[in-house]
Amino acid sequence: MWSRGIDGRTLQFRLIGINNQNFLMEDLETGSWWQQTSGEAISGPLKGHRLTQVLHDEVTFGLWQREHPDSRVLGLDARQSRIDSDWEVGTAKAPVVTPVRADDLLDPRALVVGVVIGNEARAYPHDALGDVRVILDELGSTPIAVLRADDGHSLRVFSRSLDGQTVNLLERVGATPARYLDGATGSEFDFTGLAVAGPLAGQRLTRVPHVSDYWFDWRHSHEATTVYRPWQPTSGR
Amino acid sequence: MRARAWTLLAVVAAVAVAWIAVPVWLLQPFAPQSQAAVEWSWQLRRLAPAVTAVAALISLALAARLWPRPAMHSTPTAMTASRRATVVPLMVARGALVFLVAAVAGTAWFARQNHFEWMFRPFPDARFLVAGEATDVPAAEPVIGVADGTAALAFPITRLGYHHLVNTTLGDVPIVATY
Repeated sequence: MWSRGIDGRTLQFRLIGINNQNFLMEDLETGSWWQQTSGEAISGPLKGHRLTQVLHDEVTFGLWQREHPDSRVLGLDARQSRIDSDWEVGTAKAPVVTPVRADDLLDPRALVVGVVIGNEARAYPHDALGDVRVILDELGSTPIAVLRADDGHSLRVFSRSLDGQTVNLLERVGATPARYLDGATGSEFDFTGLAVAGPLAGQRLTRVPHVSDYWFDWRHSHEATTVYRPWQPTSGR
Repeated sequence: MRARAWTLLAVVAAVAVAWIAVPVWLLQPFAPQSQAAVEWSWQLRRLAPAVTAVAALISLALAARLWPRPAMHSTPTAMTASRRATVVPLMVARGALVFLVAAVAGTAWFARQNHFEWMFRPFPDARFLVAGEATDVPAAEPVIGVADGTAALAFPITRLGYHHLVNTTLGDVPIVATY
């Protein structure tokens, strides 16, 4: 999701090609080609320019409607064009064309949540999320939380800094909609990052942009990325 | 002279076909791409409409010049004998000219197409449904959602995933939703 404004003009985009299994778009105004995942122009007069990312969500429709009852929804075109809901399953079987390195920690098609803060990029494998609803971590010296909603799929990332304090969230087990408790104050947060109960009520955690991506693609565009590993007990020796 | 014109026509046709085939080949979906491959594709596709149009004009002019006509003969006997000997090569030459000109004309047409939009048709006048109308989107379907505090838009993955991108606005801000 990108802003179409750049240097005071508005661009109009169309699909133009593919680059390492990631689509390219062309703006009709200058004919430059832009990489969809990075928002960077990689060929043409605007080469090197970057589009501004618009903070967005990738969540289930049910959750989105609950949070935005008046949201408008993209309709179908005259041909009722759509991909099958299992399209991703088929795509996931397609061979990966970018080089797989010997030291790769993950399968190329592993799904990750990718986060960049400052110069640091980190991938949170969906597998590492497992059944947990909260991952607490620190990236680029910013304390962050990866939260999962009660639908089991929707994910958001927040900064845990609030008024100079760091909140340590833990899941309120079984809560629907999902609730997250701050251990220090007992305040309760919802999936939008808003404190809905307790001493911090009314305060809101800051969203951190993230992307859901395949590992091969994330690794390709973030050379120096690290991978989050959940803490695990070591075998007693 | 004719041999030279034939050679020129063959070269023009080969260049025109290569000009459009190379970027298609470089930007295959299931092959790796280098930055150089993307750069080459961009340059070739940018110039393709002009290059193929010029190629079409040149090939048409050459074909008109090379178009074989039956020879005129002084006596009926000479004509009959000559006809047998020349009608086949004449038809072959005409066929070859038609084929080459059609191939170049085809590249001029293709250079004005966007074959990626044949596979995934664009949705330029994207329609949005108001709340309650989107009854055919399952609650469990992932959507890309964007909101600015006043307006909110949801892009069901199965729809946005087909078109790949939708140009629209959120409030007053022009945005492009991508997947």
